[in-house]
Amino acid sequence: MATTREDTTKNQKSLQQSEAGRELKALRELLLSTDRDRLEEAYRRLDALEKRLSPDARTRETSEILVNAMRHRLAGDDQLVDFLKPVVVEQFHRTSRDEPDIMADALFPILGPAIRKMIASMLIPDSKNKKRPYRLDHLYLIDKESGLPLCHVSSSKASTQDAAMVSGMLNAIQSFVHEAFNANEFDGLDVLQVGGLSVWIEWGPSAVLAAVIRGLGPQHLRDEMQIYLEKVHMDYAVELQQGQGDTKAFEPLGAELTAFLDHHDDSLKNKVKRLHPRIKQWLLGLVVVALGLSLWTLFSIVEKNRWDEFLAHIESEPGIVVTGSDRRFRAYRVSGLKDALARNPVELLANSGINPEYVRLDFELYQAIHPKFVLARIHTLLAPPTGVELSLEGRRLRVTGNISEQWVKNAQTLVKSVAGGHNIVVVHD
Amino acid sequence: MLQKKVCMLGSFAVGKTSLVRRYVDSMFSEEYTTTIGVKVDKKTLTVIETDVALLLWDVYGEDSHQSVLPAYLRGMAGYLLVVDPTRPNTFESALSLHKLVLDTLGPKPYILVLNKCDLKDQWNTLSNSIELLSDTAITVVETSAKVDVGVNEMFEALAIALLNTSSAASSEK
Repeated sequence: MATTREDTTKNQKSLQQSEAGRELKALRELLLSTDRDRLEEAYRRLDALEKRLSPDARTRETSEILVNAMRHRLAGDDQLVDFLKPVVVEQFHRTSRDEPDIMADALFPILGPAIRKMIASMLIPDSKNKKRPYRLDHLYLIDKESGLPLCHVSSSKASTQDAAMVSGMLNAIQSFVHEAFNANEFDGLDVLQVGGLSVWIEWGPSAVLAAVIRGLGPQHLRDEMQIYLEKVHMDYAVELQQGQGDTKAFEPLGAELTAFLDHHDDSLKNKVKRLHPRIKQWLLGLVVVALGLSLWTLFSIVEKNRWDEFLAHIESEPGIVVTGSDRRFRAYRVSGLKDALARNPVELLANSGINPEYVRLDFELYQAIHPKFVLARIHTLLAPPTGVELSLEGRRLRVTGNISEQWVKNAQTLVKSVAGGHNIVVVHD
Repeated sequence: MLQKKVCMLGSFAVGKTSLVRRYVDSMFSEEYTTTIGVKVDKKTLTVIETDVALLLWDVYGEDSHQSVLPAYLRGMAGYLLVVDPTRPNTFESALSLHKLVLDTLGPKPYILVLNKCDLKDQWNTLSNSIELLSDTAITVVETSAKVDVGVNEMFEALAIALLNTSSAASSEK
């Protein structure tokens, strides 16, 4: 019973406390609701402000406006430039002093052209600029650090050595000279020379260009090597830095190096290649004309020889006398006298190789006193019977066979009427 | 084709040149002629379906009178550290050369080569240096240039290691 009463008392007290709490809370709500809202808002803003003031947030915000702010300032006046100048100069000095390699690498592509311009403006052109024969046999582009070849081309006339071994040995020689004789780290081996063969080497921060020259190379070749090496450093800066020994990235240089090689090849073929296109056209035209003239001359000579041969042949033919001849382009003419019993000149023309359409033959008939024709005419005139033969020996007409003396006497009379037969004597065997 | 510069390092007369001659020319000569300076040879092989040209820089052996020029090591992708276990002092030279590489170029892949395994009955491998060198090597290989044991395998293992190093370096970039 006591326990129950205590419990009841406790419950009552707790109920009273709860009631009081609720009333207090309601009172607080009534009194402070407005201020509380404002307070909560203030806390929210404070939190936001704290976040904004954090280093990360400030960095982000500043970076977003920094570039535009500087651009805006530069457009306005030079105050920003003046402010930054000592900073930049100081940094330049520090880098040159503490990390000269970085400065040298960065300046390398532009230093060469600047120095060359200055020297060119100071130097007087060499009046004794004699051309000396030389030939580029090989060009090697080599990774400076490892001595590995990046690209290699060689002249068709040069013997080929393994590029990797050659470039490796060059690198080894350079290393040896440097270390053994304490050479300045910025100096490189410039020339290797054995008799008429020399190797010219140009050094860059990441790559080396080596040229094997046969003969006396001109100074402008070295200048061109420098210029080309600077260009390679500019165009292949990333690939040279990577240096993983993969030559694929440098394959496009093969065509450039080949062009460089050909440009310095003094053979006739390359001299012609280097001529101005207009001059090449003129030369080609001259060659064509010369060829044409040569062919024409050859043709003319052949034709003349054929004609002369034909004339000689026709002149030697019995019963034909050539009194005149003329030869022009596709117009030949022969004039003379021809016995009716002589060989037709047209037959002779057929074997001469001359087109008969271009030939005019003007022959007048005459009677030749060639023994062959005299005998023929006598034979026709006398018409000897079968079994009787006639032959002419000088001025004697020999009659052989069975014939009467009367026939022989008649023959003697008739023979005198034949051209060339006036002093012929008929003899009967 | 991938090209890699590999240096042969070790004390004098440990067999560096013989290993190169055996690998490149399949030749061996009993006659000993000291290497002066460096000699460069090339061997092309195919590993992991990739053609690799190894430029082998056979550097003169280090001894008390001359040490290897650090300039010869520049640009190398890896090296073969050759010792002659019949001469324990060659381990000390190898350790010294290994430190030279670390100082000059930093860590590079290498294989510890215990040459002249045809004379194994004369080996003395009690040096502490061998443990130090083995720990950081890609592998330890026993070879004999004379009887052609382990030579090809040695170069192939190095080539594979160099390829993997190249691939890892390319991936990081």
